[in-house]
Amino acid sequence: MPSILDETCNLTLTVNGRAETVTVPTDATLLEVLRERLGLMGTRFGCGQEQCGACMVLVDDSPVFACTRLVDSLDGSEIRTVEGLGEDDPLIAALLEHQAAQCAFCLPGIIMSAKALLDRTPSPERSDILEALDPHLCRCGAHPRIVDAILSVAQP
Amino acid sequence: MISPSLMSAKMVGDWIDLSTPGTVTIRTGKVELGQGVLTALVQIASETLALPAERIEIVSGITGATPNEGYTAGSLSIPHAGTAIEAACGTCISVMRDRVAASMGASPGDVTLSDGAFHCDGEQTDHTLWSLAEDIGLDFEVAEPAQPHRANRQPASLPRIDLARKLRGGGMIQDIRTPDMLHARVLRPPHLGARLMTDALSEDDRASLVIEGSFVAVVDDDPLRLTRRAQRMIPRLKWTGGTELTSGILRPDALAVLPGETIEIGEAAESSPDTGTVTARYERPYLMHGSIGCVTALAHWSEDGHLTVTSQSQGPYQLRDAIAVMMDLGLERVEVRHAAGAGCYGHNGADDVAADAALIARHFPGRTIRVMWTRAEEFAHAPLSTAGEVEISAGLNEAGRPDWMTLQIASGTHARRPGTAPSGTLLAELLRDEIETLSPPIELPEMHGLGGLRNAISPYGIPNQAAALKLVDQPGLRTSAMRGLGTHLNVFAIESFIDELARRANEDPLDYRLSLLEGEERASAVLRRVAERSGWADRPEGGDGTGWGIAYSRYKNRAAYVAMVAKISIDHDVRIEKLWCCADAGRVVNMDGVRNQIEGGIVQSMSWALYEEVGLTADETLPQSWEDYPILRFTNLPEIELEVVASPDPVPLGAGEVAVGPATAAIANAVADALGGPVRSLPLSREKVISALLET
Repeated sequence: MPSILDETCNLTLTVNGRAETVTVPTDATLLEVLRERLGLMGTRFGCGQEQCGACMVLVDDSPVFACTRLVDSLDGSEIRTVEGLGEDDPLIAALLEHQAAQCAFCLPGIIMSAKALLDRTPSPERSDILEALDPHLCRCGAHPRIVDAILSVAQP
Repeated sequence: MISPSLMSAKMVGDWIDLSTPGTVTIRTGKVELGQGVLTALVQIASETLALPAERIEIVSGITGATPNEGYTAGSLSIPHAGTAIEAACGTCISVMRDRVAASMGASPGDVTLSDGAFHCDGEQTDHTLWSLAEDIGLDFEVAEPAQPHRANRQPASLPRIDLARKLRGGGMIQDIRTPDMLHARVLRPPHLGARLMTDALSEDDRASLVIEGSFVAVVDDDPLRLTRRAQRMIPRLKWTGGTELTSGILRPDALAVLPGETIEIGEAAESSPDTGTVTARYERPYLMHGSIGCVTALAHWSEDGHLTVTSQSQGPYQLRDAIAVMMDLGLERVEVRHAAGAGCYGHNGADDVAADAALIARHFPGRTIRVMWTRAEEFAHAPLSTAGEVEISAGLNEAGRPDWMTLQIASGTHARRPGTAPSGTLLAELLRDEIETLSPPIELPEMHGLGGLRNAISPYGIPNQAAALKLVDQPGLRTSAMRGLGTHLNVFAIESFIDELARRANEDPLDYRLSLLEGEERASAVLRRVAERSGWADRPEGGDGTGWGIAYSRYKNRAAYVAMVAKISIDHDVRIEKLWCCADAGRVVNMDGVRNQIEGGIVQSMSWALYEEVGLTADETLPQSWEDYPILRFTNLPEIELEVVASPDPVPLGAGEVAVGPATAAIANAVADALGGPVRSLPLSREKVISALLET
């Protein structure tokens, strides 16, 4: 019986502006590659079924569930993860200012969805934020603070 | 004793390490679950020692190296660990100050401490915290202060020490990788008690797996290959026996017909001359922890037979003891080290996954075994929070107030953590030894605030009150602790009932409550304040799709006082428009931390109240995914207005669990207000609302 790793492929992905070449099974997901091949732990596994948003990343500036997106479809795409945000990123600063987390497990994914929203809509209403974060689950109940923090970086 | 944490860790040196000049290291057995406890403990040490927080490190939850403070549970971390650390730091300074004074021929009152250095009559001395620790050691007992060392300090809010790292990813147990790591997954039976049919496996398959009894694991050095191998293996495993579930046994009223031991508290309520007895029955379904991250653990079995387990458990010492029993090891051969995971609200799979990793590690000496559960394991194999039902009866006097009130509760246990039974509390142990019967259900003692009976005696001035809990075990369901234990159901039931009595008496539910709280100044204060902030007196009359509700409870009848007002609308589904909360949580250490905990408790309770219920999937299994177990989403989020009042209390009362009872109760009372009659069964779903409408 052939080992499963016989069915591998070499891929080059652009992650946070860097070209990365990896060897993975042909059905590898973006999340598997980010965490287990590139060591980028900000993108998290929560469910593997597009149901919690912990794995949200940006692919060509749009939020994408990394847990189900196959990497072999991402040739030539720009992938951004929470690690790609700058030291002085205003959204992260606002989340810290509002202490907008408890366990913070869900936050990196939420941050990426909020980034996409703010890039698209620099002055979102509260309802826009709730809508943009609807793919995300938070179990600690940090929702009110997260929404307030995002509102605080919205342009007036 | 000011803190039970001091019972097994009596010495200042148990809590404080001054061996690195310039840095103070605090040790605690309490662990970070996302509630910010380590930040609050650093703040306490910083304030007591008058030292900047940046110079304080904290070590948490390592067996043998930090005090054994039991579980990080029950809203007790600041009351227990905080009080102990404050006393230890205070004792340390006081002993050192005496020493400095003696050496300078001065009185202790002339000696002050600034930035770790002692001053005498305003002049800096040669003595520092670190030099004195070297001279005299820290082997002296923590003294109980006449009053807390930080008694006059206003609540401050040190920002979370762990957050910056966690927001950018990293800093969690799920993120740890080591060069020697092997990844493993346990392949599980379809239901509790089922046994593996080992003979049905091919020899090759058997050789590729770790098998002990019915404990089966796949191990691989590549996590990607592990996932794929596990997926291929699952259909090849055959199981037999065990308890198959039916949707009937998940219904709360199924508990009523099962036998169980009954535990009673309170004064037996003898009927006095009353004008009638009122009875109503309330129920809550089984609930799940639903942490967003899947529980994870690492275990390393050294060549010389020592086991090191890295775990997100709430009780490292209790886990160590249970693993030692499971693996027949002396305690000195097992170390458990805490590492933060995703939010944890009770006895979830954290201990189980640690036992999984430990059992596998013994097969691979010298390697670090990493086990992370799948989402389906999180849902279908972690302990559940028990369903329950409560029948309340009361005898009313002429004024429409109860002369007596009793609660008859039927529920599963809230206490099946490691340490609640000599063995059999870990899933790996049940599988390996093919144990079909779980440890018997128990009720927590009064000392721990009770379990199913928590808050079963109402806080109101009702002369005769009693409660009886029938502890039932529903075969096939492993229930244990989740946030607040019995308080959620009991406060929902009592507060709904009190509203029903107020309605019968044709009185405002706030006034009715206040009349039963005469002399209870702090209780009345939070109720009045939440009414004032919400504009309760000017609220519109309920009906027409909108309603307002109020609720009150004092957690465990001895901790924080919490009052809530909820405003809801109903258009097919219940929607919470706004929720106001006023809390008196005693002396506050970190105000933002207390607020965050109460807010989180409110949001989680809203989710329990409206959305959550364990049901069976089409395949007759427990839920496997979030689709099978919906929770509150961002678009369901109402506005929340919280006030934590200045408290006259000299001691902290805890915050994490105090809001879950009254939040659900206020929402339920608002729904009753909107519908003109109560919905006595959680969750307050569309179906429940419709059937309540049909009844009225």
